[in-house]
Amino acid sequence: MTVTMTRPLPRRTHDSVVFWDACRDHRLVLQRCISCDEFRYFPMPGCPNCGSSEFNHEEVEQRGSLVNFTVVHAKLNPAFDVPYVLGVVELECGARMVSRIIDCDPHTVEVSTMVEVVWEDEPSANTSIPAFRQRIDVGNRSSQT
Amino acid sequence: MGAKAAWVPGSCVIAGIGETAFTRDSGRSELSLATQAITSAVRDAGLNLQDVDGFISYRFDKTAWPGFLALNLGIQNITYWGESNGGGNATCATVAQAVAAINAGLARTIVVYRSMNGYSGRRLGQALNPEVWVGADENNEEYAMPFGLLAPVNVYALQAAEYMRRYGLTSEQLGWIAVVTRKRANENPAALMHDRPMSIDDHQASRMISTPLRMLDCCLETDNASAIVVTTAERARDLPSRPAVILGAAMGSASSSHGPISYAPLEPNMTDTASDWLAPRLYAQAGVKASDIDVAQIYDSFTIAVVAQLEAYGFCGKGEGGSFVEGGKRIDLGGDIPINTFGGQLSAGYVNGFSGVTEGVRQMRGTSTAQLPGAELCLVTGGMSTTTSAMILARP
Repeated sequence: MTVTMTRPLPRRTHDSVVFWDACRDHRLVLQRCISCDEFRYFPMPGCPNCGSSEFNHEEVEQRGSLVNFTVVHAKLNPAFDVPYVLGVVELECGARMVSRIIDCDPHTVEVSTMVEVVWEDEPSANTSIPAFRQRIDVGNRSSQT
Repeated sequence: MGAKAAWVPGSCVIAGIGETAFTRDSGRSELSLATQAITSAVRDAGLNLQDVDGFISYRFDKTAWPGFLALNLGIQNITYWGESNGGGNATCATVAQAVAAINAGLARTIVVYRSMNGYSGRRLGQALNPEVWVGADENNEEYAMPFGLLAPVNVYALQAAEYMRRYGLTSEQLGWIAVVTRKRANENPAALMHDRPMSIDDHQASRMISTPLRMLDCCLETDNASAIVVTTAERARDLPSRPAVILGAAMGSASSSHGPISYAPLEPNMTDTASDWLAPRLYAQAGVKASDIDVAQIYDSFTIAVVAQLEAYGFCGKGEGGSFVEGGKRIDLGGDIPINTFGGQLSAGYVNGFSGVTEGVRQMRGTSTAQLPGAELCLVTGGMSTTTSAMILARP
């Protein structure tokens, strides 16, 4: 069995092509349900909240807060240096994403930290992957309400 | 719309079990392992291969396809086959489907099995998918792996982290689950960790994998095939084997969604699980309550999964799982609810939960290596992220 030395890269689907194309341009574009107004992530044809299949794509703010995280110590893939922080971020639009929190000390990271997207270009996949870092414009957590 | 047809507790039984050894290098295909386990299970039931008219399995990865199995066993006239995705979440769903198919008259004797080269083939614990290009399938790995969520341990680590913040769960409390389970493995010669004792200090000294989960919070990865034979209670009366009666077998999903494992961290609250929703329905179906259960085989991909399920299935209250397992006595033999008496996936071997099914049958037959005297009811559960399944077995 061959184990890759490069970062795993996303295959596009009919459901996700808009998302990945926007990521390539460093824009975060999520699906928003026409029926119930909820944003959702990841891209999928139906709304988990109400079941409607009618939706728009909308660009959202690239900011949120850290609601959960794990510090990954095991080198499960050579492309990711360890330790790294794998976080769950609640975006300002309400949808949640999982990604790495970079440029931070894994020993002092805390939930509620305000974070923003930092784009990691992956030219071979013709896209960019959103990671997050602590927002520098709002200082530490709890300074933002 | 009419009412649902009534579930009849005890209409079907597990009449036979069969397994291959837990190894890390089977040197054989999943199909070859499956044929051995199935042949053993059918013989154990006192039946012939030609008595089998149905096959059901489940998968997350490569497995032995039911139709191809019939060909390799020389079985004619299969009348029912089925296969579930969802990995360990479907462990007991397969049994529910077998009972449903038999009671609907679609088959009479169904073999349910799981076969995987979980160590020498694709290791689910190392990374969900070892390829460069991921996703575009039902596992939705493209929203996990490129972002650094690489393996199931990351998902369960996030669940454990939320448990710690919300309920004060500690790493040492998780460790007691691993320690008690290892004691059972030390009693079971078929367990991979049979000769390897473990203390709570060993657990606390084991290396961190994904905080707060350590190496000894994680299940093993092994090659194995396990199989059972499901048939009617009426049919089993004529058989020489001792059956385990299926009182209840149910499937369920969480309140908000039932997505793939990579979706679980996006849920509003990871301490709420599909098991919370399934448990009351399972007990009602079987006509028993949590305090009636003598012994439990609880899906233990990671120690935290056991905490969540001890709570969900009513052995302790929500958020009390950590203190319930502390010190280990209440989940040990002689405790409130002895668990994973074969050594679990943590210390015996991993075949996506199906070894909990075969051990449940052994406890009801009185043949476990850690037999609970007088055990009459055994709970068996499947994996527990956003969907799950479970069953209750009874001594005949």
